[in-house]
Amino acid sequence: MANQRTTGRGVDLYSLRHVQQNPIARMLPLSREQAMVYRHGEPSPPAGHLDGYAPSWEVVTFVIAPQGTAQARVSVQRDFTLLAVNTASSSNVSGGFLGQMFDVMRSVRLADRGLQQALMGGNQGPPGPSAAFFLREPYPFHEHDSQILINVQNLEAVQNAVQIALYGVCLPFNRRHSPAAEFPGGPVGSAPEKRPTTGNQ
Amino acid sequence: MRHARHLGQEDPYIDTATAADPVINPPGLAPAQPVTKPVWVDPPNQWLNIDQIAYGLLPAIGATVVIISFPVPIGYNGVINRLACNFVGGGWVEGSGDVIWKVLVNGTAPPAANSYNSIPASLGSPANPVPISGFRVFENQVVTIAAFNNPAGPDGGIVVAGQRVGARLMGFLYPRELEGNGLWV
Repeated sequence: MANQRTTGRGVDLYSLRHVQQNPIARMLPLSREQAMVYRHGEPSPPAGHLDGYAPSWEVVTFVIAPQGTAQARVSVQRDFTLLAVNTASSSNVSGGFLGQMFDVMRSVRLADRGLQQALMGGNQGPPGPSAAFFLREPYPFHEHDSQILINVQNLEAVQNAVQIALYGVCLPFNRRHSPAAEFPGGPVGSAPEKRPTTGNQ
Repeated sequence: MRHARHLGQEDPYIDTATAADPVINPPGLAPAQPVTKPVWVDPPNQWLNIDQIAYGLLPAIGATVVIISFPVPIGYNGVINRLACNFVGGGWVEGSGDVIWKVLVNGTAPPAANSYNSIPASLGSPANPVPISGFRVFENQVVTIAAFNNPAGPDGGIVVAGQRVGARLMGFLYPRELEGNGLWV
């Protein structure tokens, strides 16, 4: 019966094989996505709405007292889209730390409870980090003046130096020739139209 | 989990008994609006109490004793807003750091409540706990008060001679459905 179909041939309603899951990063090609996790050496780099986007690592660092807690806010660049999370800690005997993230502008908590380090940033173990956690679906922080609130609780009985790196793509504010429209909030001070030209440009 | 309140459903923040009280809302006058604060500020009608008190023997130098440990019951969130910790016996100087009390949730300080993981003072007494800024607790979390005989203290910890460390924790629980959708941190 499947061969008699004139439309949607090859489409399995229960498969995500032909569904583009990561349209912004496009780290997974639509064909052979199981074999090709990353794109290497593509002749055609991202263009169109992706033109001008750049990799961005938003990094927060904490030095937390034994079994203490700390918070940090990150003001992300324009159109920041979270793609991956990686973590590191100086001590990971009792689980390292618990981490929570919140989308401040949308009032959304990305984790209801603190997430243990191994679940947040890959399978961890002393020493050092081992793997990043890649989001299958990117999470965009596209609200104007978006912020990420990060809450970290140290599970260790010793002082812990914790670093969380949020990897994504963004539209850097200091690009010289930005093809994308500014946010509805208006052009930022460093927008190309407002910048004085120098001899180097 | 937070549930949206449906149209026509009774507002859980309004105490209907208070609103119908003829002393508070005399007949013939415009009915006063009962003042109800969020459930994490004032307990709602369906509140349950938290009042835990216990003592433990001072542990050996470098060791920790768990004085109080209890799980937040399923279906309830709550607030801890009163605390006491004390020392019974000799050999300890208040504030020296030789004994450190810790209020922990799931083995670490509650989020954004950093000072409770290292308390160097006896706060109030179990008979008279002191108000604290407090913190919220959520269902299934394990709330613990522990005391640590600190070898890094000025006296190198306290030589054990039958002393006791005590603690008391007070607060209230409320059905988590009453939290509403506006609470996101």
